[in-house]
Amino acid sequence: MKQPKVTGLALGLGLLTLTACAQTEMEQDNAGDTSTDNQTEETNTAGDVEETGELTIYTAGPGGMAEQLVEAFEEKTGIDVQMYQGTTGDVLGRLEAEQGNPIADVVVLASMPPAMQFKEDGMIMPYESEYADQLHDGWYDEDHHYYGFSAAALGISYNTNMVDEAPTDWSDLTGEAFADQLAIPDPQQSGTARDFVAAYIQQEGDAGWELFEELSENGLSLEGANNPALQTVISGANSAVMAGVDYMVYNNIEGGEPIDIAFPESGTTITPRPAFVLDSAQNVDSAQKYIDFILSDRGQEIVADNYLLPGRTDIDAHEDRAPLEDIAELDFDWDYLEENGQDIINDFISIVR
Amino acid sequence: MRNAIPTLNKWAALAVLIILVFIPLSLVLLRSVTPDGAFEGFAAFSILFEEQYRTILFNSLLLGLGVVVGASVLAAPLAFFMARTELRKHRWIDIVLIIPFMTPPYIGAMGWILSMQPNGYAQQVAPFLSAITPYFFTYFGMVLVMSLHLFPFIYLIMRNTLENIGGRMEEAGVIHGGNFFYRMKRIIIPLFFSGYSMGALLVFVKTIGEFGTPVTLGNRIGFYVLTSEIHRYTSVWPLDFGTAAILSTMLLSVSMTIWYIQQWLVSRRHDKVVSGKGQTKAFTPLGKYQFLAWFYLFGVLGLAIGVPYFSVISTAFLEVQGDGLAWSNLTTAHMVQLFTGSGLEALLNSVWLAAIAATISAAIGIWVAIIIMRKKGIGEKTMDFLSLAPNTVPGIVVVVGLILFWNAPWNPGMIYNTWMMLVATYVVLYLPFTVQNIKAIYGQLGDSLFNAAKMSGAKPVYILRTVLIPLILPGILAGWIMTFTISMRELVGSLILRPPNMHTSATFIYSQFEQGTAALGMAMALVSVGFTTIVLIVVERFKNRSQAYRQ
Repeated sequence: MKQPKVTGLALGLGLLTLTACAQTEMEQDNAGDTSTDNQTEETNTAGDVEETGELTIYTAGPGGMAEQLVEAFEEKTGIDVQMYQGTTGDVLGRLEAEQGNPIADVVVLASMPPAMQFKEDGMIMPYESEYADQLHDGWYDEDHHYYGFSAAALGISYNTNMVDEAPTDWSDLTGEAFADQLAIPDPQQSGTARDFVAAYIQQEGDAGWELFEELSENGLSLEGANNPALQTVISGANSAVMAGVDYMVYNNIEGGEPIDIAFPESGTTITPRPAFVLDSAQNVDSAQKYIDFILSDRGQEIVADNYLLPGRTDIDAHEDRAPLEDIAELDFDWDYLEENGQDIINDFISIVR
Repeated sequence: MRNAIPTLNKWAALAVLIILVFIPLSLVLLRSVTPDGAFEGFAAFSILFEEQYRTILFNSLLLGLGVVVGASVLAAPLAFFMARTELRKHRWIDIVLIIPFMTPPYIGAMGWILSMQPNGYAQQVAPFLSAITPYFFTYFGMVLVMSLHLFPFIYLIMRNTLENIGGRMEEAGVIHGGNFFYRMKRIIIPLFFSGYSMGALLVFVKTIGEFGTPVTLGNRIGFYVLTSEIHRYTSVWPLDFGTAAILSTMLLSVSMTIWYIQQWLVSRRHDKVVSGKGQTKAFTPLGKYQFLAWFYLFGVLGLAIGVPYFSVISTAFLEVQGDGLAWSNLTTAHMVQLFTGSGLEALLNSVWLAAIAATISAAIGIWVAIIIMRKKGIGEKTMDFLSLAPNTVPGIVVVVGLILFWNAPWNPGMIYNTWMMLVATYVVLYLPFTVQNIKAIYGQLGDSLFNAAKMSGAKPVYILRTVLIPLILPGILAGWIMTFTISMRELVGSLILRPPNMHTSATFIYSQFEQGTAALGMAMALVSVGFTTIVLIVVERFKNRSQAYRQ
């Protein structure tokens, strides 16, 4: 009774791999066609959608922004959008599980390394957007695989009721004022914190490890993902969170919460949020339109309204937040992070725990 | 010829379980040995011998054990009070006692954390508590939170079993001069055992498969268990489904072992307590000591509902979280926002999805449970385990299996990426609850009623309709309630499997915590639990009426 079932399964899996391969090849052919198509007729107006007629987007947050972008896009182009919005982890988990039969056309993440891995694995369909040149250097892939259409910088978020003097650098956090009331988003749950820890070590080397040890002695604790970590500062359980994303802080300041954010002098990481078209996309034309849209003036305005840093150099950030020029960046490269990230995080966890 | 229909029936049920449970779970296991599409042998399993993973396994077992003890200790006195003393008149207590179970586990854990953390609500209300709050952030805190969440489950099973034991046997004990403790030891506890062991098993399995509390509280204090690691490998970059699948196998084998031991223990003695002879309800009046029972009840309720809900309500109604508890800091803005924004739609989605799922899973549950209880062949044993299996692995594993199966290009079912996928997920995840609930009641039915019916010439269908179903109806309703309740708050599956453009109440709450305002999330939690309570009251009324024959 069991035997035929197992063979059936094996057969099914075999088929699955076969179809997957066939699909990939076909799509690659397609990819060549459409990207040339698109260069010849730049002014691709709304309405002429062939494909399935619906665009499927898997996007990381922030929730409000993802919805606003999609709404504005639907309004402008008339293309129906199916949006799945979750955390970067949710999106990646779903993509991984759907590998056998991909559904998404466009993917938007809040973290760079996965996008780079996707590129390496040949899972991204390159597309040269007309706005590519206007983006910040290093925020997009030079082979036009992904575009960091927005970015978040990490800083020290602190409770203004509990901290009198704003910290100016990471080393300030070793002070008495922050003893046992200091946290960092858990790098095992937060991609941005993970990048920061690795990038800091790349720039500072042994001095970086020393700082982490001193911070650990001062009672540094790990507090889940970004927003939960920030919540502990808002509620007063911690007086500061280091390496938390900035836009959440600005959102909460708008809501009247007693918090603020400082960007350390020695530098921090700025994480571009990559958007790309999957190689397996069925609605290539609409997908590329979406990429263009989020890089367009209107799309970038929505980004700025949500307190994120716009990806284009010619669009100003929200007036209530620190502009890009005022934020010192760590000296790091993404390849180093991808290669050594896991080891550094393991060491970091063993120091802090 | 006469056996053709039952046999066909059995194989049909088995086929349904294989499609719903076996194939998706097998696909996950298959994935663990064929990470890149090719079989790479079982070398990957060698990680099980690594120190790191042994610790995690040990932590899981330790947690499961702690919670079984904790939940049993909390539930036993309550079950006794509610089955045997004056308190049993107050049926509302039953409903209140289910509230902790309806609370999403991560909300419960979050509520406790908000209370216990430095400068938390506990310290704001009673500053002297700051001496004990740090102890919450340890293993014991986790056991406490999870026991308080799961004890209603074991309580319900305990109380039903106690009620069914009835007065006759005890009266016989009294007549023969047995004192209270003797009767406890020789009559109640042995008869109680089969129901209780099933409850304990489910709580253990539920604990080691639960991920809400380990992820919110466990990760915070560095107490890693299998589920939190599996969650990490499936949702945090770099993803590693292979390792996740291997750890899931580990969880599955632990659960399977425990299940086998429980089966073995129960099969050694099977005590029929519902014989169809007149039932009297056992009654142990407490008299003037009644206040102790009430005291205990309110103590438990205070911990299980009071503490977390104080946090939930405070957070939902505070205008500025950072300003803490103050009358001037109250607002209803979040509630208004919930009902005017996308929150209402999410809530309604949850309601109808859960109702459909609960109904389907009750139907399958009756079907399967009856077949399992009729005979004890290898087919039935397989079905028994399959109907329990989804509860033995963390939701995330089942969910990945469901995607691998339903989204496979060779799968003809068109339900992936539609709302039907969510219903299917809830049915698969919570089938164990209906099956086990019905089984627990069925296990106590003797043969005499069925023999009497047969003697009187009743056909099988007639017996089913007039004898069996009415007798197991409380179990069916209890299963329906449970499935509805937890489907209403199901997070993992909904999060990953929900079709685009659709939110449920749980995913709404989660996304508020992850990326939005905690206050809105808490407001949703409050409304959602409130609504579930109302449904519960209605069904409970109905259930009481269906049991009226016992009075």
